[in-house]
Amino acid sequence: MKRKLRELLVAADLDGDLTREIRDDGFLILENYGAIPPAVRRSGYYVWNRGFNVLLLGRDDTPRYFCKCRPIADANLERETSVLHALNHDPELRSVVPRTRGARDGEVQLQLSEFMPGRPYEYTLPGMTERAWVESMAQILGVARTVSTRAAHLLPGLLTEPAPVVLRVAAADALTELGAAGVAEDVLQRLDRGLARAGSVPPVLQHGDLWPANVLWHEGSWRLLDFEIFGIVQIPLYDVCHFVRNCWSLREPHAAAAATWVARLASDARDADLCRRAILREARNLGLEPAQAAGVLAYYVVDLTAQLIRRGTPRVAWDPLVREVRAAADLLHGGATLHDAVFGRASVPA
Amino acid sequence: MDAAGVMSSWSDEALAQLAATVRRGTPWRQALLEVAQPSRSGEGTEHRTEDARGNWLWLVDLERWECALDVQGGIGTTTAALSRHFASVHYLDAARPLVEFARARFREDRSANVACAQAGASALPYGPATFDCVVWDGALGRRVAGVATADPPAALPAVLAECRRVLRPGGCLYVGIATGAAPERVLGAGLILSALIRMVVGLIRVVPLWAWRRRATRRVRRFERLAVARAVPRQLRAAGFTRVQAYYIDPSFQQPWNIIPARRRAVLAYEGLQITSAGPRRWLAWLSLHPVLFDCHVFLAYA
Ligand SMILES: Nc1ncnc2c1ncn2[C@@H]1O[C@H](COP(=O)(O)OP(=O)(O)O)[C@@H](O)[C@H]1O
Repeated sequence: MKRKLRELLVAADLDGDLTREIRDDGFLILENYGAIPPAVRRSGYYVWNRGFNVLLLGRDDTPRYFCKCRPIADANLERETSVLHALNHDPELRSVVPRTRGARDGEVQLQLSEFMPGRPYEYTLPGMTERAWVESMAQILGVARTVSTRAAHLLPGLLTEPAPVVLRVAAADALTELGAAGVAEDVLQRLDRGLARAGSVPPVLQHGDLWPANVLWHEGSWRLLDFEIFGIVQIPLYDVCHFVRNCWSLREPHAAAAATWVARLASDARDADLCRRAILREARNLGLEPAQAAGVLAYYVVDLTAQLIRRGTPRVAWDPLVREVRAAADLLHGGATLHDAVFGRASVPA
Repeated sequence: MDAAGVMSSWSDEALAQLAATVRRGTPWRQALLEVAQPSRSGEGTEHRTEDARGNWLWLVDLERWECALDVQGGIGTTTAALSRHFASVHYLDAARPLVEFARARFREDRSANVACAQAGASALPYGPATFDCVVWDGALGRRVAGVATADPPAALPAVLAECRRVLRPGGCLYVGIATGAAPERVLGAGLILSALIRMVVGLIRVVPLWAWRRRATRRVRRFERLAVARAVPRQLRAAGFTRVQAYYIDPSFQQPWNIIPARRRAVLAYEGLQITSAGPRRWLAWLSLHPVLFDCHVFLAYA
């Protein structure tokens, strides 16, 4: 392999024996999505890209390390490395996140983690019984809550402000973004009013991309992956909304393709009540009122949609989310409160 | 956009049209989109493809990263990747319209370290020991100018010898072979293997279900990949290369998302990561028949 890469791997060495261990025939490039160094377009800017990942096999040919390689312009990798490094030093989280170290030079940066074996939740979820789903979801969300609480202590710099976040203010830029993308003014106004009514929430660090593919089950415990944007979102319950939405879609892909999540959540659809209760239970664990929970739900669909648009993803990728935004606004029609519309039918959380 | 896969299926008229389009001043990406079949184009695919195609260079161990050669450069995808790793890069292709296209492309991209010329891969217009790295991408997917086309197996030793000649000691040759694109039995599958394959294909023809027959025949033909895995390293050594490393690219050169050492236990580790990977794949890997599993074979050979 390129000598520079070998040197960086040794610099990020977690166990002090990589120099001996790295073999060319135990080095697999995975998820090879972008060139390092990146292509430079005529205008001179770097095309955003995710580089590639590497699986390093140990002497016994089993996976030993997982290494992300990115162009130096990628700011998220360094963030993730420092978050994982800090979290792994917490005794409570040692089994949840991998041991991790980073290294970089003028052209490439890498993040070396111990390989985390385990079955992605994404694959087991569709075949689970309802009861197993509810239980596993509660466990995983509990782990995410612990990570968030511990991270606030371990990485105090991540929390931007200790003061409560006013949901309407926090969503203002995203709503403007949606307006620019063609979402109708009355939709935006209704959401703005709905968010205003939900008030404020205490800031809580969120994983940011907590969905079943980023959760592994191994030897009796849950492990979390992908901390690249950890802590950027600080709206409590955001991860819960993201997780519940994605779980439900994976279990019922046809229903998810046919109707919006927001509308289904507010309906009598199969499993809708189960999802509502999961959200409300987590809200209670976080000390949030149902009205605040409904506000976060609106914030979540608005923010997620705006994020995708901002990233320059093609319209086909964010159009379904715009439908979620419209569905949330529809629920607010005629001055209804989102809380009543979504959670009004929820049976009392267990 | 893949030089090997796409170019091999392009007609001479399409190539001429491509050259004419850039000659008129059309940006090269747009020219490709206009001339390529719409199903193959698509801005997104092309950019992503192009971006990731050169990352195999991170697997290469070289003393110096000064001068590289792309012997069958096609539309220049690999050359562009090389230009980001080496101080200077030479692009060659035997087809004049492609050379013209590549010149326009690198002029437009202001890639000052790329020089383009027209020449066939079997007679490289360079002195011995000129390059640190030589790339033959899409090997055997296109005809090689200067070699009797009636004898495709002759292309391999002829080009390998030339590549070896222009490499510096310690330099590296990359050979990429998409087995699906290679002409049938180009490498001579060996007497026993060919006889077996012929026999099984003959048996399949007896079955009256046409769709099943086609699928089954394709599966059996995959066993010819075993011949690629064996013949190419042998020919590389015969051409004077000392160390040969083999890899698979999965799923294809156009989407080179995974690069796996062509070794039983590495393939088993890779298949172990694929949660959806079917049992037969793991069995084939376990039996060391892993060349059958992958369409794209890559060889790194050191001079
Ligand atoms: N430490 C690790 N051990 C094992 N697999 C990992 C590890 N880190 C990442 N992965 C695998 O790589 C995939 C992508 O990693 P992720 O952190 O989600 O990065 P990305 O931001 O590229 O999605 C994961 O879904 C998982 O399969």
